[in-house]
Amino acid sequence: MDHNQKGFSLPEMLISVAISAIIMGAAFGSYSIIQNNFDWQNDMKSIGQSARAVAMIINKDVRMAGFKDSDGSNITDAVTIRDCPGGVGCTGNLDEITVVYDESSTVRRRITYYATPFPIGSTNERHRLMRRLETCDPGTCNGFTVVYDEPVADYIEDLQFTGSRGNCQSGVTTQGCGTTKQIIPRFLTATMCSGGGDAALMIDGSTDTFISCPDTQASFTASFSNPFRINSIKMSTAAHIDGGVLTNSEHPFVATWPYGTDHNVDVELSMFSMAGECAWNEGCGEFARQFSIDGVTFVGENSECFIGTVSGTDCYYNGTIQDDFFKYTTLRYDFRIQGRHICTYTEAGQDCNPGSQPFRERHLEIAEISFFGEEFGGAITPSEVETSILIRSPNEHGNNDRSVGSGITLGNRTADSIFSTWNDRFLRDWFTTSTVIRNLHYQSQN
Amino acid sequence: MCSTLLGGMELKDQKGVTIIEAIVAAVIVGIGFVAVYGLTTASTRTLLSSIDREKANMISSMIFEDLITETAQIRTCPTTCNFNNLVFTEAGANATDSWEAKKSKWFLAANSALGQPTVNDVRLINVNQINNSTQFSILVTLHSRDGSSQNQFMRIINGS
Repeated sequence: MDHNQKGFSLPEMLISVAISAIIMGAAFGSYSIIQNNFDWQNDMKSIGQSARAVAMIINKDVRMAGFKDSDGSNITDAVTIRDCPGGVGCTGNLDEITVVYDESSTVRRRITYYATPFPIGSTNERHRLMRRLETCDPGTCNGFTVVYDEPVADYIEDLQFTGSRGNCQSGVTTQGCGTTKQIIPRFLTATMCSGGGDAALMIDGSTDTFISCPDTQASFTASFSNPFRINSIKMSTAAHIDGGVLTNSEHPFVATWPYGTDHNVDVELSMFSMAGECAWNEGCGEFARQFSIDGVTFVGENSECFIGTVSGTDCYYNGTIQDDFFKYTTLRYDFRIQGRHICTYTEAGQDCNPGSQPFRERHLEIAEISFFGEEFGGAITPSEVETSILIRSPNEHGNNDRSVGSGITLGNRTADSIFSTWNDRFLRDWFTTSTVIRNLHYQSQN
Repeated sequence: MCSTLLGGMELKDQKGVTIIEAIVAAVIVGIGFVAVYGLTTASTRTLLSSIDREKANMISSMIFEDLITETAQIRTCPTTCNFNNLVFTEAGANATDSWEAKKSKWFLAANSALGQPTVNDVRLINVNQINNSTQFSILVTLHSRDGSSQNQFMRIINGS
């Protein structure tokens, strides 16, 4: 039966094996190419997804900065950016940001984003983005308790926070680069107030304590620690005075502060005679508004106005542009003065013109004077925060080292100097976004 | 005389593939592999485009955020405002004025994230007032990779 056998000859087998080997080789080659490509795509997507997640998480907290429950104590450091390395309080080389806001009437959160090397000393060392949550009671916040301090993202290579409208750098006094808040003077002195008076009572935060000047005019000088751009000045009457609703209207001003070494502000309040009458402890007059910065005086248009029971007319300051310090721009700032001239020794139905009768003293009583604006110096704490992230892939790709391109600026750091060391097979990409801290922005507009 | 070489079968009766047929088949299969490889190139291109969209999205949200606080500017749009038809390359650098600084910031951010614009890249902002209302639509166009990644983002901002 041998001659009936069917099958493949040896040459046939050799040829077919050779051909299938070629095909399998090609298949394997394609497979590894596809596999590499898949890995590469995986890492690229992980970079992009991390970046998006990090930006969303950070922006969500930053946007809330400064939000205060109505019963909570004041938030003094709503947002703090530490420009690292070299900045005050830095723990590493990557920028850090701390925001404070009230989550509810019972929880105040302080959240810090910072990066820490991981695993330290390993050849695979990179940074992890950490989120530290601390809480306290908003009413009596005497210190924060750490709730957790955990990583939220990995493979972070650079993290930059910039308080910016443009290129803000530490110490730059560009509008938008500073901290928008109430600026408490280093000291305040009364330069025109009979008996001197204790001007410090006007910046002690309490409307129960006030300065009393038995004068028709009083002048004060405030001194500040850091350069600032003043947005508004607000004065409050002493809390013991009843009656009289103080109103004011708002006017668009931009006070462009002459950034220099001299940060003295002279606030001069001139009293005007009033023809009205007033009863005991009722307001019967109000100072007309005069305000000067470094000797440049701004006089209100409305030379007299009435408050309280005497007249319902609104008092307002409507300054005249007298100097380049003040100019109209598209941004709106309010300049506000509230104050009160009271009669302390009149009887009902008698006027309080000075000198007309004895026992009709006029006192200028001011409980608080508050300055609002943007302060510069120290850590950058702005109302606008730009976040830049540079992220590395978890794995190496390709057979050749690659360096990240030059000319890339993240935040206030030109990356060229540090990128040169990143000449390896990891993939890197960078992302930038920013957010406006509404609370702080609109606070500065009041 | 060769008739008994292969177990008695006649050579002319053999059935099987010739070398030519085999090579043709291999080439066809090879074309298939090349096509699959092309697939990876296409998906790479899509991925890059998606990354650019991601970055452009972040930059456009930066612009929208910045514009929320510029309602006075928005009200003057689209006729006299500073940023209608604003081509990103026109923004000045090292600006100190807040408005100029914003434009500079967008310009730098777009260039940093998406690279310098090339011939077919369009990067601009358009503003349109909606039916004479206080609502304005802001359209941000951010192209990259020489126009192969085309992204547009729109948001309505209240200018009142």
